[in-house]
Amino acid sequence: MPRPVIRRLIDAVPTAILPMAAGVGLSALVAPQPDAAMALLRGLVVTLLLILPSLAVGTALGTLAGSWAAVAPRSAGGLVGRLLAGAGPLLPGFLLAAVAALAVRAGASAAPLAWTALSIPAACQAARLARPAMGRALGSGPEGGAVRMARGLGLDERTVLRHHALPQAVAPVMGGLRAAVLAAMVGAVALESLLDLPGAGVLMIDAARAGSAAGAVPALLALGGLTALLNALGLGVRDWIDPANHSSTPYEGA
Amino acid sequence: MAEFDQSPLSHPVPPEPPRAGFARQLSGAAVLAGLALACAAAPLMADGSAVHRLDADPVAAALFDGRGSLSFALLAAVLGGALGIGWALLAGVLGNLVGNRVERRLIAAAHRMAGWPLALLVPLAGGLMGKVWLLALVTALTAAPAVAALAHAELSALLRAEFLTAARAAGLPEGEVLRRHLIPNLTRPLLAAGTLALPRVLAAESFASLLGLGLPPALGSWGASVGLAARLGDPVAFAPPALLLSLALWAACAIADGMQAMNGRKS
Repeated sequence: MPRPVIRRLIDAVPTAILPMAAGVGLSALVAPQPDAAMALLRGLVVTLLLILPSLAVGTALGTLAGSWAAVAPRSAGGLVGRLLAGAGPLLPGFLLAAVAALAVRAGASAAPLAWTALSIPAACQAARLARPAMGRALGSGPEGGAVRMARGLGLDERTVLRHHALPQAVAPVMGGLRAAVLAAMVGAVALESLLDLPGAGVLMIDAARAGSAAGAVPALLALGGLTALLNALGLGVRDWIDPANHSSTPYEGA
Repeated sequence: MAEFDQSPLSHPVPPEPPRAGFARQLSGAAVLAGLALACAAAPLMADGSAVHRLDADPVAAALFDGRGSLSFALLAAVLGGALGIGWALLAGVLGNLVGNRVERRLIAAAHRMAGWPLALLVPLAGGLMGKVWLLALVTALTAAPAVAALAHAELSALLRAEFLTAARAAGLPEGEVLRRHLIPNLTRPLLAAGTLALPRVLAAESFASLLGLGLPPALGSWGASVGLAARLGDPVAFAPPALLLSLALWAACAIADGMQAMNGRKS
C-alpha cells in the first residue's frame, strides 16, 4: 500500500477505528441480543462490501467521463460526463436505492443493482469535480503550466493527458470524496433496509423502529467510524495521486 | 483519440459570468415555486381524504404528499440555516472576545461534523422520539454544521476586506463600520450559506420517511410514498413522488449553487 495512504489511515485511527470499536463494544455491553456485537461486526463488513466497490467504480468512471467532458465536450463520452455532472442533485443515493428495490421486486438480481445504485451518485460527484479541474489543467491559467510544458517538450497528446492532465483532475475528486461517501452511506442504509441485506444500517434502522436506543446508537457510532475510514482512504489516495506532492520527482513517462 | 474541442491558448475560455449563477438560482426558484403552488392546489384536484386511498390518482396523491415534504423542509431549513449562521457568528464573536483558539475549535468541530453521516440521525430520531418538532430540530441540526462552515468562511473573507480597513483608517467608529459596511455586505453571503440547508434537510427527511421513520402518515411525504411503492413493487405509484422529489432536490440545489456562484464561491 502506498505510504501516503498508510499515513492517512494511521491519522484516521481516532476518528474511524475508535468509533467502530466503541460501537461494537457498546453493542456487546448494552444491546438486548446476546450476539449483537458479532452481528454488528458482520454488518459493518457487509456495508463496507456494498460501499467500497461502488465508490471505487463510480468514482473512477465519473472521473474519466468528467475529464473527457472537458477534453471533448461534444463526443459521446463527453456528453455522458456532462450528463453525470449535471444530474447529481436529481439522483440521491436513497432514491436510487428505492429504484433498485423496485427492480428487485420485479425480479432483477439484487447485488449488481445495489452496486450500480450506489455507484451512480459517486460517479455524478466525481464528474462534477473532474470536469472543471480538467478544464483548468488544459487551460491557459497557472494550473495549465505542466500540460503546456509537456506539450512544449514534444510529448504526444495521449501521454500529456495521462501523465499530466488526468492526475490534476483526479486530485480534487479524491479530495471531495467526502460528499460521495456520505451519499453512498445513506444509500447503503436505505438499500439494506429495503432489500433486507444484513448490513450495519439495517441493524440501526430495525433498532430505531423497535424504539431501542441500545441497539441503534452503537450501529450509528460504527457507521460514523466507517465513514471516517472511507474518507481517510480517499484523502490518502488524493495525497498519493496529487501531482503537487510529486513536484520533485523527475519525469519517467513514455 | 477524439478531436479536441479546446479553444487555442490565444483565445482563453472566459470565466463563467456571474449571470449564470443568477439564471441557475432563478430557474431553481421558479421550479420550487411551481412545485409549491401545485402542491398547495392539490386538494382542489381531489378530496384531501381520498388521495391517500390505494386507488387514488398517483399524481394527485404525490402532490398532496408534497405539502408535507415541502413545508417540513422549509421549516427545518430555516431552523438549520439559522443554527448554522448563529454557530458561525458565535465563533466569530468568541474569536474576538476570548481568542482565535476558541473560534478555530468551534469551526473545526463544524467541519468534522459535516463529514459525519448526520442524515442517519433523522430516522434514528424518528424512531426513538417520534414527535414532529423534535424531528424538525434534529433534521435542522444535520444541516447546521455545513452552513456554519460556509458562513464562517464568508465572514472571515469579509472581515479581511480592504474597504473595512479603509473605513477604519478613515476614522469611522466601530458601530458605524458595522452598520454601514459589515451588515449590508454580510447579508447576502450569509443568506447564500443558509440556502445550503434546504436540499440537505429535504433529502434527510425524505430518506427517513422512505424508511418509515420520518413524518407521520397524516402529514404525507414524498419519501414515505416512494418507500411504500418500492416495498409493494408498484412502479405507477412510485414514479410521481420520485420524480417530484428529484425535481425539488434539483431546484433546492440550483438555488443554493446559484447563490454561491453569485458570491463567487462554489459549493
